[in-house]
Amino acid sequence: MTKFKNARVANDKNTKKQYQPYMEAEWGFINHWYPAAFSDELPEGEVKGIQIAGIPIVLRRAKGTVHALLDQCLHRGVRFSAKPMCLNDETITCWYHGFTFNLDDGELSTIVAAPDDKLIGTTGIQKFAVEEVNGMIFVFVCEEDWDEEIPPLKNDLPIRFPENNEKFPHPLWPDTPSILDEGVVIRGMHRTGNANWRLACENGFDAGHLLIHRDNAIVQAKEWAVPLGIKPLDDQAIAIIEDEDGPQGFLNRYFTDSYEPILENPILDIKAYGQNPKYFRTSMFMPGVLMVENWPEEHVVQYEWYIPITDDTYEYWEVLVKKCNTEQEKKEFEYRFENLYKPMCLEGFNDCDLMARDAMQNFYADGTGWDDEQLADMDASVIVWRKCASNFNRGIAQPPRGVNGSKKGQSKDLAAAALGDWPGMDAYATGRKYDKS
Amino acid sequence: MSSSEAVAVEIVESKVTFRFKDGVEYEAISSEGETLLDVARSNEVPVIHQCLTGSCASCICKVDEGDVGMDSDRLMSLLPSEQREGFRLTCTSYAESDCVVDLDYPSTFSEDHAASQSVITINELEWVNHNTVRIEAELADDAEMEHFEAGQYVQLKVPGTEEWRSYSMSSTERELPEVTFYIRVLEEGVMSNYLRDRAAVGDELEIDGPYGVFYLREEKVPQIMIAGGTGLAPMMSMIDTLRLKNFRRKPVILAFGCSFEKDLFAQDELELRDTWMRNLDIRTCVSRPEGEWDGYNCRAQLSITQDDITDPETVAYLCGPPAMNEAAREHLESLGVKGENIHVELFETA
Repeated sequence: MTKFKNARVANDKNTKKQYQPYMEAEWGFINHWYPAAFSDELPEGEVKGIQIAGIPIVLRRAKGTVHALLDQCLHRGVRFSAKPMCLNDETITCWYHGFTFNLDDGELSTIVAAPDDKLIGTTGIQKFAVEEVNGMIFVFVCEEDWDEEIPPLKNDLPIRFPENNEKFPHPLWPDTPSILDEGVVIRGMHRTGNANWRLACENGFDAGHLLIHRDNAIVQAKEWAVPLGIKPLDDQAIAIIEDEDGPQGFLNRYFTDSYEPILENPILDIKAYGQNPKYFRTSMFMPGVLMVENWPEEHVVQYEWYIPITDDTYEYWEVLVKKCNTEQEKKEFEYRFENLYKPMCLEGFNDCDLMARDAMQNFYADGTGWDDEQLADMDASVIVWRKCASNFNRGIAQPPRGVNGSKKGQSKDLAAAALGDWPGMDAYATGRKYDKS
Repeated sequence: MSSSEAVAVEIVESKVTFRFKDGVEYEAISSEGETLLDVARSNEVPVIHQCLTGSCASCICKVDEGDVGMDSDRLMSLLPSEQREGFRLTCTSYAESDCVVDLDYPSTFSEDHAASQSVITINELEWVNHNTVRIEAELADDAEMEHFEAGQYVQLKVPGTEEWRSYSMSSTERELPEVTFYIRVLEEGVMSNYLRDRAAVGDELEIDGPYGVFYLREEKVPQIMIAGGTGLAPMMSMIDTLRLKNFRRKPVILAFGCSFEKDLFAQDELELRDTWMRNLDIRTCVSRPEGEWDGYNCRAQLSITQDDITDPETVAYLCGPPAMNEAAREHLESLGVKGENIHVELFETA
């Protein structure tokens, strides 16, 4: 084996230096827009606690508007969402000692049993900008001292069409729909994965990983001709997208002359199954949004996020977007989503990805994997992504203090493990509702 | 001795007030012949100090009220301009009246940054130009140094000698236990001889630190860094620290100067940081270019112009040879940067 010892050329120390900020972003990137919940997860009056990039955030819908505040009382640090208490439409009250904060600016407006306290009006908690569009709630997760204009949500979502049809043409699926388009139908799900968010991101567009989908039910049932892998051939294979005022990331020019689909390996006598061509294209944008065009059916697009909760858990978001012109079209798409794509694609097919990311975690968890990995030709887009993320991020999330995941191996984690729960299981859906019964 | 003569002997005592950046004040009585540092030490005033001989400049203070004289024979590392502005090294100066001196760091600084001794092992040793070596080393497992401020330095003991030399880390606290230095190799000098003749990967060096009050003040104002030669090292630590703290909303200017093109180093590292930080403006200055040179053709400080001073509270860090530090301070002050916002690191090569 020793003759292979120094074969690490594709990703040596000098290459790694070029994406140092990405390596430092264990807890994710900050000062970006992230999805926080689907609209229907937050009905009127409801409160929900989440955590993004180590920052606990409480969402509350009051009079139709969604508000987002730091989910940590400034008094003793408990999460409001652990036992939501809202005494009017303008405030959120801490269930513990009654500290009450304005929803619109986070100011401490009163304390239930101490309305004359001198602290009132002098302090408060961080408030976050919120946008709700087409059934999704996005939060601008920023540092406490963010004092600039908030960049538009569109800059943290993939490129849109038709405006990019000319630049990134694809005759088979022009006009890929966007989250922001009028009249689109968005259906999706999210759940917690137990890996660092970067491992999840990299799995999303990894050109060499199609092997794990070879035996998937949907691939077999539909006889999709999914290649064993897709190999980049030239420097046109990956297009960097770096408009100052727009989405930033890269696009894999799959199914052009720049990529070669690998359909068989004669040495192992293995071939791709399936007769039905399956054309799609992947691209990745800050702060870690994947776009898979023409997937899982024609003229539908799948978007994915891998949102850091802690440095070893992430929230995996998958949504399908389709432009539906009639009510009938919408109904049929929703039916296919519920009965075909959710169980067979977002779950079945992508469950394999979830498993692969969790499987990488041990190797990377203590930092050594980033040094010891041996990337290959197929990983060109992985390196490109790491560099893009290093250059285009608006800030690196600091390792947090006093929140879920900032200290490892606590009794609550061990107890969860003993019960067979993964430590990440309740990380996102924190603030499990207090059960009055 | 008659009784009348005895009365004529005056016992000169002065009240010295040490005022720290966090507002904490200590008062102590100085007797004749005592240096300010003697007074501080005997009264447990947390003044930072190290060499006690006027060479390290750690114990610098600024006179706010009263008269403080200096032992000019021993004065080694204070710039003439600093002297005129009322800066003194407490180890070589004396209260001549009741006085108030300002220390430009919080009273807790020495407690929070206690020096400790350990060993480093060289992991990488690279000649980055004709006379500069980059050393990447790892602190021993039991090292107590868990923190340092960007810009601070340590002392390294030259292997095979009893000599210690001071070097600023170019790495950040976050990279501990790994530490990186850029060291200039002279024709003669104990460390230079070691690096040129004997140094090898795997060597162990004794380390003592961190020291110094030249460190990054994290004020949210524009930052100007002027570095000459290996004076770049502490600036690299500061730039990475600013980057990690997401300091993106105010400009950071790094003016890096050398005499000749061949003296430049770390250009690839700087280019990367230029890509990562949109607010970072790197000005590479060569004062005596030998061939075609499309960077700044001037001394580092002269690349800074009036247009760069956009905020009256601009903070500046200078680290280079004494002549550069002196000229840079004068230049910045002429552009309107406040004297108290200019932090200077003594630079020596050995």
